[in-house]
Amino acid sequence: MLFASCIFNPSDDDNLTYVNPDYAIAPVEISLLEAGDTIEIGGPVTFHYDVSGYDPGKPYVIAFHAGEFHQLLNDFSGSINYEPGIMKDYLEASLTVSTNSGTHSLADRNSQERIFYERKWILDVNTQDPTEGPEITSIVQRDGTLQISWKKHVGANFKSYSVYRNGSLIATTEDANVTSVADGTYLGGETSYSVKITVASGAYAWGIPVNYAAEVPKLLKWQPTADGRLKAYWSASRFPENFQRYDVYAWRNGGVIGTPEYSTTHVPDTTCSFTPVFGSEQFFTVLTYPKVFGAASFPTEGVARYLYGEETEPYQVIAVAPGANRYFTRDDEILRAFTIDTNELIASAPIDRLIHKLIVSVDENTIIGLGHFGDTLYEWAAADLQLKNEVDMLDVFGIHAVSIGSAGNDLLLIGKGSSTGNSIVLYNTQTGVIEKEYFGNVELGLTLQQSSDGRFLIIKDWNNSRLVKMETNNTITELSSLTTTNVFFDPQDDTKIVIGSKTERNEGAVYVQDRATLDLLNNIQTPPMTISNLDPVEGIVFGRLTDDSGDFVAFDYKDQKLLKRLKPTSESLELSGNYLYSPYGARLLLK
Amino acid sequence: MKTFILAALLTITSSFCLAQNRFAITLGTGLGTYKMTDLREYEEQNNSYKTIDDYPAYIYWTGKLSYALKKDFKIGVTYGLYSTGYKEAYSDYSGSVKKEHIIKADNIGVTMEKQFWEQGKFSLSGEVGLQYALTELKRQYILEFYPPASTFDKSTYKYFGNSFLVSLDFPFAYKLTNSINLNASVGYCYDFRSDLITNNTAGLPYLPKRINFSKPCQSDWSGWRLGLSASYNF
Repeated sequence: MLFASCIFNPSDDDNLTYVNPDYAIAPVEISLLEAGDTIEIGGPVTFHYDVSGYDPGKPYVIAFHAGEFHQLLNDFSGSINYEPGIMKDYLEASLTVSTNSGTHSLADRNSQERIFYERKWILDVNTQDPTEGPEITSIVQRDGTLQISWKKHVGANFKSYSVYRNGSLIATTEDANVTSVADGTYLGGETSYSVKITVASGAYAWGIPVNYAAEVPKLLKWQPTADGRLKAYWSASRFPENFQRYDVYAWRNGGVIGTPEYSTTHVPDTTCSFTPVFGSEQFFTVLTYPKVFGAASFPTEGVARYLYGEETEPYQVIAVAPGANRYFTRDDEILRAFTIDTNELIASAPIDRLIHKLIVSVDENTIIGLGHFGDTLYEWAAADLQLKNEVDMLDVFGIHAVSIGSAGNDLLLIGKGSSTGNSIVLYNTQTGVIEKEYFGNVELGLTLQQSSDGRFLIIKDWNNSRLVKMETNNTITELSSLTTTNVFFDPQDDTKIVIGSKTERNEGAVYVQDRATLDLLNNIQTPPMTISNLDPVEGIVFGRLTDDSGDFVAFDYKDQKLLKRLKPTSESLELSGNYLYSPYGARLLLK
Repeated sequence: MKTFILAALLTITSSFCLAQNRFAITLGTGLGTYKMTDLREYEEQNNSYKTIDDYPAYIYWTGKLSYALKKDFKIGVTYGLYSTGYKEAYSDYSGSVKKEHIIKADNIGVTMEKQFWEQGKFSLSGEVGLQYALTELKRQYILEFYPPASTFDKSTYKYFGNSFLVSLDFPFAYKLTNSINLNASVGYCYDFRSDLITNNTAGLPYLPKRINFSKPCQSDWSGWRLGLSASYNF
């Protein structure tokens, strides 16, 4: 103890060495392919990492850390198998890369002076049974199908995803990494998707349903074609993968029946044309059929309304005055006047529903109506539909037909004459006096025409016409009974009559004959048709083809040109001037 | 404390001197060389930094109480303290490291001294001694890193050994007064060496030879001794 303080004492020399402390090392980049600041895991998982930008000449230490888990990694890129040891929690995970500074200082040589790189992530660990189903993240159209994607389930013991549309299963996968499916059965329309997660224990959870709607093929526009047909354009199916065909129907009412107008299996084939029904509302339906009929797979359809012809104001066109730019319509209670060119309502007037016949005066200033029982004549001013006159025609009780007389101010009436049987009466509208009465067996007449010299009449009945001559002794002589109702005086020269052909005669022609001798003066070819209307002024015949189609056609026999070809209809149509009028509120310009 | 112990010893020896004048108490110091072959090899093989000290010759201290059986023959009991050590160090901007190994031996023993020659106040003797050395090797490792590393590590390990030493010295004395002699001696000490065993339960129980782990290092105090001392006869 005496000498305890005298033992060997080492030198104070600590051998200080001067080392350059500066160092510069290129930084490395650390990436994890499962990138994202938060990584959800529900069980054993394999991460894939990559370290780049390192100095090949230096030793590096690469390590992965997650909670209590640490693993040294030998390579600059590779995979890490990690199995979380917890049920549900957040863990910090990191990939660290370190290397020495290279200064060879004491700290460097003792690994105390290291360059250190680190990237951190948060692990959202959940190995419990699911409590909520997968969340649908997107529903998008891709490659002609509908792609439904959902958020990957984070949980243990994954078994399967099941995808439902409108409650019906459309896909199942047992691959936890598959988070989208393509619905090849969807064709459009409103629907709803949901995804169910099932785990090995059998427990499952539904995700919140997500609604989706995409346009179904629908009518885009109608377009009349030069040949009188109607061309329809519809939007193409957006889901060609599941497309089988379009069936296109054009119909008037009563829904889709019969065979389609058109059918195609080509997605981009989205037009077709067909003959519309003039004057009636047309409806269009395109049914899109899927290749695969899933549980919720149905044809889709689009419906559109189309009125073929220019739409007129209400109801039946009963008189036309082309020179006065007027046409007149009636319903049960109101008479209306419209301009032809602008379709504008000019005037209206209340009428007796029994008035069933209107004619227009020669000067087109007056409209003359005939009471249903043929006992009253009404006269309205064409301009404003003011009732100008109401004449009791009891003297010619039972008027069947009325026509403007050749003198312009006269009316020709067919009825039961005041004295003996049926007669034709010439009635002066100015004086209100029956000026002449022609007697003869004229039977029923629906319409009358009178030649300009007042000597000839064409009387139309239901099925035929008769050409009669009014004699000076106030009698009439029937010259010919023509087996057609379509006989007219030629407006250019009423010594001729124009006859629309009928089946008993040569079909497909308009005949011009001498009114007195009935000699055939001209034979104008038309399509093979039965003619129901003829407008000699415009030179238009209108009738039905005698082929299987039974289509109506309007034919310009002067220019030998087909004007319109129309869908068959049972409705009676009026031909006046250039227009064809439908009793259901449409008119069609023919020339 | 040291002063107190020294005063006590002087008081005791003084009382003997007054009584018989056959006793002598000798206090001395000297420079001893130490072989320490195993340790030198060990350090050489484990050297990482610059060697500062390598078990150099170092001052030793002795104390002896002798009794003259005859005028020219004395016996005595001795105490000695030998120490030397090893240092290896390195320092730079980032930190410093020091390995400091200090070995010491407290040895007690007996001596026989035969005076061969005397003329006037000078005399020459031969002295044979046998000591039992209690050796302690303290190995200290100090590692410090400056900021930003900021670490400090200091570890100490101790090893112990017990060995017998045989020494042969030739003291040359000058009789200053009747009671006080001044001595100078030269001699050699042979150490029978001992294994250096640790009381640390972790790891090897001994300090291993680097080249052969199965054998422990041994302390070896063998070496020359050059000493100066003063004796008080009583």
